[in-house]
Amino acid sequence: MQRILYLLQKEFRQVFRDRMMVAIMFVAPVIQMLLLGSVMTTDVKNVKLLIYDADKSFASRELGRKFMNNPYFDFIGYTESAAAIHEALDKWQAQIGLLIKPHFGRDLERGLRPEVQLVADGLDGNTAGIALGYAQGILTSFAPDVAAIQPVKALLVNETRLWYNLNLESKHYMVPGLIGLLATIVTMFLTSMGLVREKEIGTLEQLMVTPIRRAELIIGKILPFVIIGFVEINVMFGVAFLVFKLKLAGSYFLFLGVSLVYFMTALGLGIFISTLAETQQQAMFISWFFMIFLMLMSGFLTPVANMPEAWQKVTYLNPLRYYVNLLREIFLKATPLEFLWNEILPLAVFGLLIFVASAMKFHKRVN
Amino acid sequence: MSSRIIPIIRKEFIHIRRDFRTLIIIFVMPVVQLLMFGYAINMEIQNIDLAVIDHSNTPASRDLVRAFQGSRFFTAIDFDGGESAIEQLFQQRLAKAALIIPPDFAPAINGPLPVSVQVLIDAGDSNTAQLIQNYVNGVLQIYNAERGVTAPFEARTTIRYNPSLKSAYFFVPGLVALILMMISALLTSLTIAREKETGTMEQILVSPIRPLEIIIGKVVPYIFLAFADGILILLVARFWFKVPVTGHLALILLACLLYVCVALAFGLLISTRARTQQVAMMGALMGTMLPTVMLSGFIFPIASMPKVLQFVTYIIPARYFLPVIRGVMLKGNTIFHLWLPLGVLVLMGIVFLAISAKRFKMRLEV
Repeated sequence: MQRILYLLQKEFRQVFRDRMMVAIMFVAPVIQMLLLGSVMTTDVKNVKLLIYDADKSFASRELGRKFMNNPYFDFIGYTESAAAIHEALDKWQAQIGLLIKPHFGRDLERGLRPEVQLVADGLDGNTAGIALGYAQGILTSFAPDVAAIQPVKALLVNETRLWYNLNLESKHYMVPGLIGLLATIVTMFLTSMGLVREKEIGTLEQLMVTPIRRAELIIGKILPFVIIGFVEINVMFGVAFLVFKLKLAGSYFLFLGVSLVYFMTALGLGIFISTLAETQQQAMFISWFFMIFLMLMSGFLTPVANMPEAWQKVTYLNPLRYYVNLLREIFLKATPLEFLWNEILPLAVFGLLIFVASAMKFHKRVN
Repeated sequence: MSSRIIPIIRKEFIHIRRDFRTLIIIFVMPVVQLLMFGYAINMEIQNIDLAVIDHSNTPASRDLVRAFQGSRFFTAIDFDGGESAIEQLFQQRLAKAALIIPPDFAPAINGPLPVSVQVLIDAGDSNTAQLIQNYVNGVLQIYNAERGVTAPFEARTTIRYNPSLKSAYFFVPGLVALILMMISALLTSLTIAREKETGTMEQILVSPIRPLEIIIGKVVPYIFLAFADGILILLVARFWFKVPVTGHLALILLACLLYVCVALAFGLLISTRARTQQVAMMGALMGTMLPTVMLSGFIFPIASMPKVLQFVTYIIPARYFLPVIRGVMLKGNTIFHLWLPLGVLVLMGIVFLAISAKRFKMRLEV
């Protein structure tokens, strides 16, 4: 025990002596969080809208105004022909066009069902789909205002209620994932780089010839990063609250608990990488590769359910997938522990396996 | 002048050929990344689990449920736990949305007044929730139309360039921009730093070669390499991901060549600053990967960003390359549509090259 304490002391001194390291650990994640948190939004805003109103009646102007006043559209102007709308789409000047044909107002009054056309740039499928959804919403809500003729049968409408994220802020969805991702970078990168550096400089051998036991050595090497990891996630938690107004809906202790389980995996991976690499450069490359895999296959960017079947199966091997899920459930939905075992159990098994395997691999190296 | 450049080019080629491992990385890594990214990033959703609470339980209400089930977006699940249990259902992730049909649905739907059904959506994932909302509206619209109840006007939608709204059509050309940028910048960032580290730089510096000649001699071989890489990625995009090419192939190749030159010049700029290969590599990764992914419109639309960050995007080369490659591949754009972004890319290339040549000269004098 005494020996572990000494090792801890040494490790902390080593980390805090290097100002660069401190910056990488505490400043970089906060900056990344601020930047990524505000950029990574799938919210669709300011969709560039052009209107061609060939009718210029009261009804058609009303309809145009409904579109202009909608905060999701950025109205650029009226055009004088349908061709101008297509040209603007070609030139990236507009993303959606509304075409109102001549006699729209007159036909509407007479109940002749005039036609309204929407033309959208479908290149960015996500934006186009959502923008068309907004447009349909406007059209549906417009109908009763001027319709002179009531339908004979009832119109079925829906009353939607959004739970957990009333305003559909994608920040609130992205930020918990970011906490998971950044915590992984810090813990995995730092352990692997730290161990490999000692190998490179030759101080690891010196440590090995001291009477410290292997388990003690590993614990002494890892504990500091567990502590740093906890400080880290709390700092990011603070930033999430202060800057992005993200409140923790669920239990704080559950958040810390699942983080501890996950850290075991991330640190285990760090040790594992350090046994593979001889130089810091190699360690960096391997960590980088792991990072890309962990990130892409976790559902951090887009839901796992959207991936092809085979890829979905691969994600079960990804510890970050479980952690990101857990963070989102706890942060947004206050999901209690009893519904989270599907994530916690695999995570714990993973952690244990990776940890033991890398400790064994590390142990062989000592001999 | 040219007689001095050619030997440098030859020397650089020999370096590249010798380092076989790096060559493999240059040609295999992009393809692997393209496959990985191309499948992992997908914004389309299907088979959304929809819990149905049917208080009416009549042929009319079952018709409505069938309308949901019939669309390829929803999988209807009968649920008789009542409204209070929905929260648990969402937390257990057994459903993403719930449809509640009121008890008086059957008589009301045949009356004259509008009828509403309640739809509850788990908006923990805001983007998915948004799409679910749209799908629900779509299903109801079709349902109404089939019963002969329609809005007093007809809305017709035309989606151009990508009618089936496929994510791959949007992301794969974007990946070309990302991968070319990373590979090119990495390549050149290492060349000068490596010569500095191994000490061969001084030998070159004492030879009678001018700085601009060294720079040109160093860049030319990598233009070939990176361009070959670009063609390889485009082939995968075209034949594996089946992204159509509606515009002129020549324009795509020209744009790729131009973009690759900008990226190589950027790498060179990093290289003149970095003392070691490790610093150069970190610089190249940090300077290309994050900005290109985050601030170019590759995934996240620029128009949705905060104003300050929108201004930052103007200095990201990929911001200009993306509309070019997407435009030519999918919109059939010609050079008349794209002269502005292409012009900016040319300008960027010249500025990067000029700065690195200048930096380089100063180094010589010191």
